Amino acid sequence: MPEEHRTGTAAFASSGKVVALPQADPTHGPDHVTWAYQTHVTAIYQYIYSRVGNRPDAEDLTAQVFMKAISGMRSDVSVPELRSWLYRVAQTTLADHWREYYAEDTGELDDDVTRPPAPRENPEAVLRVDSLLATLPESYRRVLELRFLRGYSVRETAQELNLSETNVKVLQFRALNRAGRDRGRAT
Amino acid sequence: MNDDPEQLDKHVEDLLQDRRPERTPLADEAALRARQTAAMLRAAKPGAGLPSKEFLERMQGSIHEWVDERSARPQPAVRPSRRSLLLTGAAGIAAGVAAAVGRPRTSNWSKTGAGKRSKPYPSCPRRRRSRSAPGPSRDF
Repeated sequence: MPEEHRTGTAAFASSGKVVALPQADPTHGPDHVTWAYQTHVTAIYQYIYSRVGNRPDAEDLTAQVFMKAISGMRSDVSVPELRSWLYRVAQTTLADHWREYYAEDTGELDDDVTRPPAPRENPEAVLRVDSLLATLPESYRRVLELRFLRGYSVRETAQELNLSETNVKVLQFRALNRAGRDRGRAT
Repeated sequence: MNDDPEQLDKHVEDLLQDRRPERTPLADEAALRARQTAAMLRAAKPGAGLPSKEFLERMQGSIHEWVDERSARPQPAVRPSRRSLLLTGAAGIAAGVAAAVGRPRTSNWSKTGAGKRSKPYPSCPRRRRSRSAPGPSRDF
């Protein structure tokens, strides 16, 4: 990702200063749309990935966000405004995704949409997971750590915990439901 | 459809293999939240959640195409705003009044030929020409 990590633009974007974006000029240097894409694509992708948890959906939704965003993108907004706007587009795209994906009324999830996003998603996601796991009973925490953080299969997890594979699936089911409830209360 | 450990584990396996999970109808919001929690946990695994080089290149190509298309497209001419039209109209009326009031004096100019060159409503002919002219102005 050489362009994405160009020091000038990346530092500029992460500074948090209110600075006008580079003006669109196809003949001289990158267009502001290209610039906005290059400086935000990884953060938006990570943000979406931490909500859907798989690459194909994260790629589709990230593409949707930028395709929606660039058609209405203005060059006279500040970097924080642009960032905040991109996250809002990402949030509504995700809400639509869940509604469409599961045909569920995600009315309550809209609360999550209004929350201001973290500036850097990945460390924030790790922190959120740590604090979530800390609230769970030991057996629940253990099964989720083995399955998700260590990438153990059900069989490996069963061996590690001296349980049957069926019991691991039941434990995982209860743990995810409990954690989901706790997250719901927190939002 | 009720959620069950097998169904949820299938979803988890898809996430752990970085596959798109099957779209299944869910019983309730608890089932949805359990899957969202699974996604969050999956993303917290070290090394997960970074976009691939191929995806970034593909996206970059799409963005460039979009920018190129936009650059190649002729820029639409600026439509006059309602305010500017009103102001132009007011200016025209003012010019008309001024012309009417000043007629005795300007009528003297016509004797010298100067009056023939003066145009009481200079914008009118230009506007008429632009309305009848073919080409880009018709796109307004």
